[in-house]
Amino acid sequence: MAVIIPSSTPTTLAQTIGSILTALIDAQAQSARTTIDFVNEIGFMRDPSDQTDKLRSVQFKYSKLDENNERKEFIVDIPLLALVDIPVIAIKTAKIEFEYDVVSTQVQQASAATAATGSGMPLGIVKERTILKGVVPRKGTNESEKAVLKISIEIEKSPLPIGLDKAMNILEVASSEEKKLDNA
Amino acid sequence: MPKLSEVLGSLLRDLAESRVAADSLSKQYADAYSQDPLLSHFPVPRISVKDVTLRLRFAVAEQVIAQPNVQDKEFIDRLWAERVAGAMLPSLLAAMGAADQPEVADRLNAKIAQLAASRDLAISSALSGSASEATRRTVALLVSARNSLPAKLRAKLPADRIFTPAAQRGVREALAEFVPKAQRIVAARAALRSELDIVIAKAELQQVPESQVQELTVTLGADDIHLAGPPSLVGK
Repeated sequence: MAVIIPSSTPTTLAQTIGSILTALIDAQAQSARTTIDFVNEIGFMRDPSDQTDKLRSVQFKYSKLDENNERKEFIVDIPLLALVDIPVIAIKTAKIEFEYDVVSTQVQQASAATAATGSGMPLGIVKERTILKGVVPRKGTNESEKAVLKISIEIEKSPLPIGLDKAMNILEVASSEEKKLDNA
Repeated sequence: MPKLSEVLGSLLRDLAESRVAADSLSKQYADAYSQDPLLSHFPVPRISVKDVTLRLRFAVAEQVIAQPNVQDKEFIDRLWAERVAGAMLPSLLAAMGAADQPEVADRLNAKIAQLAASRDLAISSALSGSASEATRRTVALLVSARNSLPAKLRAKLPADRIFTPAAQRGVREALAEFVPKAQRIVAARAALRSELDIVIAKAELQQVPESQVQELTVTLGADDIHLAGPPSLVGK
């Protein structure tokens, strides 16, 4: 889960931007999970007899000439997943704009600085590091003026993942057409 | 007060660290995806920062501008000597009518480098406008190098040819091209020793008249903050 940017507690820019980036990654992961849930919910149903998942399908009848050139009624069984558009949404680009008010600057030794950033990253040859901490300011008291962190996201529908695409081909094969028997 | 260089360094490091945080999360998702039969077919979510524009508002609290020092001048003299020995010597020898003397060129090359390392060329004096002095010193260097040649080779390069108008014109033209570059190099080296203490905290910055507040815009491309090759997050 992404870190929430506190409006009053000063954070480093790494924490502020990092929380935004991780939020975007979380959003993409949730999008993937939604797709999986959609596939499970729409595409399959639990067979109570043997507790296994069966393809959820739709059946419909129609008439056409059969191999003997006689008009007969046919039943078609098509997996529901093959009929619907599976939502696979991905973030294409995200443009982030925000102000960052520096509230404190501290010079810290390497070990202290590493701990302060929470990154655990070694500082290498840099023995001292200036740590900037700040806040993303609020701009006024009206609710509409509080949003100072602007994020515009361009999303697009991605192609189906390769595995899912192959599964769709299998569903195509699973579709069946059957001639309705006269006494049926 | 923090220095501008420290603040910029801190911001760049913050950007890199934010990327580390994002990549760490992507790795966690990669591990989780690899365990899930359906999710394993999905690309692991990953964010790459394309470009970043930082607009930094600050006020200068104190500045220490370093002046060119002896090391800067020696560095420039050494660069010039290398330029004379490497790029200029063939055309100078041609102007002296000794273009077909590779042995002379090799010996002069080695001697110029040796002389440049052991004496003050004072090419750096040309940086402040004394180009004629630099020309004279360069010609003197060539004469010294020529005089140090064995008698047999010296005979192939009569002393009077070094002072031909064409040879001196070649030196002047090369100097005219070299000096602006040298000035930039000296300024850059001095800048590394300069210090600019700045006010950047908002509370302190508000005490500074707006007219004294500077704004610096830094745009970074993805390559600028790329730490390593893109990791492969796809489960194997």
